[in-house]
Amino acid sequence: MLNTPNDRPEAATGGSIGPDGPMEAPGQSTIAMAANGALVADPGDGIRREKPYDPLTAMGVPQETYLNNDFSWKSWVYTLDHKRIGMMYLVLLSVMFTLGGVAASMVRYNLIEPQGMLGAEAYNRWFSAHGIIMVFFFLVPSIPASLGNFLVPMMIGTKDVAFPKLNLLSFYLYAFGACLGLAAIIMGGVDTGWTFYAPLSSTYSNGMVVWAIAGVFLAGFSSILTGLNFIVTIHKMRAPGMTWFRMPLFMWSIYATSLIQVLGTPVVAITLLLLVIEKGFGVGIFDPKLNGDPVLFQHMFWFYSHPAVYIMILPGMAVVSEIIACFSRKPIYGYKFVAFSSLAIAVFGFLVWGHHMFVSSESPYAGMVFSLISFLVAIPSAVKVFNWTATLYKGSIRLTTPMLYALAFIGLFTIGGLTGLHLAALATDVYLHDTYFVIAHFHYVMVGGAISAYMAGLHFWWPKMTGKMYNDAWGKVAALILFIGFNLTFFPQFLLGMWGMHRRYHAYPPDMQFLNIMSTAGATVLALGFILPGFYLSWSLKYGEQASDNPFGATGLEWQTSSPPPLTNFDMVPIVVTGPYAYDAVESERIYEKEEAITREVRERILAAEAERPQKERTVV
Amino acid sequence: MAQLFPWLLPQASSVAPGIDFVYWLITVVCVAFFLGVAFFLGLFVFRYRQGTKVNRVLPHHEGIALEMVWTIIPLIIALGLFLVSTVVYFQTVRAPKDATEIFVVGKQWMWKIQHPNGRWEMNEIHVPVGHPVKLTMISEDVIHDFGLPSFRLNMDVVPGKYTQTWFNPTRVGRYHIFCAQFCGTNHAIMGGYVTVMEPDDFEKWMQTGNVRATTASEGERLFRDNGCTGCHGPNSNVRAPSLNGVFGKYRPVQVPGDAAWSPTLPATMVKADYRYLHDAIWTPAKEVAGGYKPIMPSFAGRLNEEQVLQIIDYIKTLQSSSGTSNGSAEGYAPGPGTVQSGNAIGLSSIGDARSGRLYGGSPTGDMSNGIDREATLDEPFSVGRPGDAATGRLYGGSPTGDMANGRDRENIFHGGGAVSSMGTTDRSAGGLRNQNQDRRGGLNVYNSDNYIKSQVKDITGGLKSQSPAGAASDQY
Repeated sequence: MLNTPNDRPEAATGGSIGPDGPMEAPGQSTIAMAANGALVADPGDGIRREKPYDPLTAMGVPQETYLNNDFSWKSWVYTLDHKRIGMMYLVLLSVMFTLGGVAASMVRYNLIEPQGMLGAEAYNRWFSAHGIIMVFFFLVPSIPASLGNFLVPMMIGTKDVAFPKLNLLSFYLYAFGACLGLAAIIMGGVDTGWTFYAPLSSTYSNGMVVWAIAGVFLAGFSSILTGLNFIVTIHKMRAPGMTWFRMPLFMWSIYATSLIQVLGTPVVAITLLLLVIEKGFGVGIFDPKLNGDPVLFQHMFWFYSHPAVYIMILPGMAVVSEIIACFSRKPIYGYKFVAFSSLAIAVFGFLVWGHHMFVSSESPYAGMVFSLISFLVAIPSAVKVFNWTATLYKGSIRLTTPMLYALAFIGLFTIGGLTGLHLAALATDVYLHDTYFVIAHFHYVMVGGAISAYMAGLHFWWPKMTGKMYNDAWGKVAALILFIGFNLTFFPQFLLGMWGMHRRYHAYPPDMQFLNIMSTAGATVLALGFILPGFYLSWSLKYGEQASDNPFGATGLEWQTSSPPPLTNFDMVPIVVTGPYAYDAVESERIYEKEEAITREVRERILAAEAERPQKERTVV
Repeated sequence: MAQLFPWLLPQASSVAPGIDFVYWLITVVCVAFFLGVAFFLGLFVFRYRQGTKVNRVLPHHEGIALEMVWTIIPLIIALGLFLVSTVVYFQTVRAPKDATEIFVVGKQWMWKIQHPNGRWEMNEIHVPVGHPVKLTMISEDVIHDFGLPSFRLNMDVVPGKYTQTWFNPTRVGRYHIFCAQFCGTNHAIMGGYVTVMEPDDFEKWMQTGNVRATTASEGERLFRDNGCTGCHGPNSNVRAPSLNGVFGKYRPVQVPGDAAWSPTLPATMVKADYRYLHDAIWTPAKEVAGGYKPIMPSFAGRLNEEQVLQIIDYIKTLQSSSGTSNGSAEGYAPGPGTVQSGNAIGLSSIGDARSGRLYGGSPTGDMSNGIDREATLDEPFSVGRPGDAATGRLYGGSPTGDMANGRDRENIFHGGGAVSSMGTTDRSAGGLRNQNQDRRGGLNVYNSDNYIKSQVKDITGGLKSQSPAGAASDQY
């Protein structure tokens, strides 16, 4: 199972889906496309192999998987298995998401009345808790740490990440950081918002800022270690034949995300450390009373925190690329453009932080440059959206739960991205700065984008991760509820922003009450939409039917192994001979028609049998 | 636009139409793009859903031409939007030369406003319509943000650093000020109003109230009381730089940085603007005037931001040739000013004259300014009692802004306070009908404030005609 880079056969030249690729060829090659990730023992003869004969399986002994090979608590606490670490992340992330959602509910509850239902002190602590939990303890680690940890080694055909112990350390750093953050909130809360702007946070706040910052600091290191691990894994541990352009697009986005994590997170860690030094020891860094510069904090903070937005959304794009391809049965249109647009977003993302500071006494000329680059960063995002849409063209589209979420992602992310133009433009940002327009914009990107994608990915890989199928009908209902609730919550906030309702207000002019009540009503629907998957996914763990190895008929190496995967992911080292998206809409449509015909035939025969039954009654059982 | 869509914010400043144009331009482009994407998504999902009998044969999964088309067209559109937005922004970012300068000091959780003639206001700015106003702003504690959505304006108010913004109101009315940057507990109620008045009304308003001393003359008093004259005065024996005409000029300074100051440090040229003078008072060791020893003590903590502003404003008036310094190596010219004025630093008359000239339309000359004010003060309530409701305390004889601040702060905390009571159309139009609207008590600053509707044109009608509230509203 050792998978050193040297024993890898030299990669075939050309990209995954070049004109010489087998998917272009008609006839029997069409079938061969399904052989992506075919096992060594199965060198591309076109038929997906059953698992090798296993006497234990034949005797009805369940196959050993990463979940059932050991049930002791130590096997979880000390595990170095990337899949178990990914599952532990998933559990902890769900807890954090629930807590952040509770805080969001309190925020929306407060805003029912123009005077505020909770009062200023409580409200400030709730919205700060919402921001800190959701940004630092949910969105940043969400997809990379849970789905990424589970899928990165599987997608490139190796048995674990490059540094399994570092991986476990990163989980515990995150867990400890999350505990510190929660401790800060329980002990009295933080009233600075998630941005921790100095000198409010360093001198004037009476919240538990240091505890929260310590939590964020540790979670940041967790993020760095995860990114580092993924970069090394992707560079050094790809399976034989897995060239860069045969990697699924998921990997490209995760790679770009990891780059941002490694390069950006140290900056925010240092910034927050400086804040603690100023707060604790009176060293003047940001507070002007101590000869510091408060705008410096904003520069350093946003130098990380704007790329952090891309840490949140790039993995979402990763997930959506996989799902769109799978459920339209087509290769992603313009693979290389989508892949490189991820890298372009990562690079440009580092150059736009100043657009958060157009009115922070930044020079208008600096603002002009940041505005220009912010407009440019819209282009790779647009390219992705166009390519996904083009992928659907002449596909064979199945509207399953993951696909619904993915389509919702495209629509909502498009709205979120386009409204970003208003905020990238100098003239309009001066008007809309720090209003609810900004809130609506980034919730469209973060909730409509990143969390939709998270839900999509969760539903897509749930059978692989747990080996159980959830109820697809419930999934669709939940997706629909989420979509309605989301738009009802956040679309009115665009109008609120235009009317001049500013962020972080516990009280607001009464004329804005109607829209705020709409928003709160939407949040209630949204909460229902998030509670439902919690129930039916948990239910499926115990009562769900056993998932097959590849229930969605997806390509990709992770689907070529059993569900849930064995401890070492693959029984044999996979050898990759084709690109990642060996789908064929025509072929899958033909299969679908055949299956439909058979189903129809069976149903007709049953009906016929039923009809004959009275005549033959009681003759045959 | 505002006439067509009454639910939109009014465009109350000269820059608002331009910014709204950019806003709607971008919005139209966004909607077009979104509808395009949504249309094709819907079309493809419907047409190519599993089981439909359509041609699915597609020879290519990558087309350079198509990729280029949908890369370059959005690129051109984005650059176009950027250009339009930036051009509009640069047309609006610089204050006109003739703008009146008003000082704004933000602190938790109130706005203190000082007019050039020394008049202080709390959470209220009265300005004449059609005349540009430049705001020079600083915070005393945390970062605030002066937000005026009806004027399409936001500008951070940063501690330790002056920021400037400006507006030219084009419509008479009352417009809500918000604090846009989260600044602590009562961030949401750190608000106020800009009251835009007809120039005549404004003149009347300006000459009533607690006009105590001009900013500059107050600064002069501070300059004297804090012992600045001891070194920077004309008869001082201490060798200190001349402040005579220093404002706005480039002067050499030595920046010690982390090292100790030494006379051989290289000098850099620095403009003696608000920032420099502020820092020179608060942290004098940071940039030492070239050729002088760093002997000036820091006044941080001894002066608050308002006082620093007043002193700088006083220094600004020292543009004439009257000497203020002694023993200085350069820039010292014992000009006739010293002889003329007799009181070298007593330039308060000039300061007054300055304030009299401001806002353009004042017919009063330099000399008559003081007389006008006298006359007004003799009959302080003749101009219209209801104005009192809007600007309450300003008649009230509280001589110092600071004491009024304390009161306002109390009011803010106990509800029904400064902001809410000043906000209503009804009250400023003569009635006190809404006094009991604060049903819930507490921090319900917005309770009596009919936000959108309160921005009505004839809000100042109370000053002129005592028109009832109903007649004043509903122009939208």
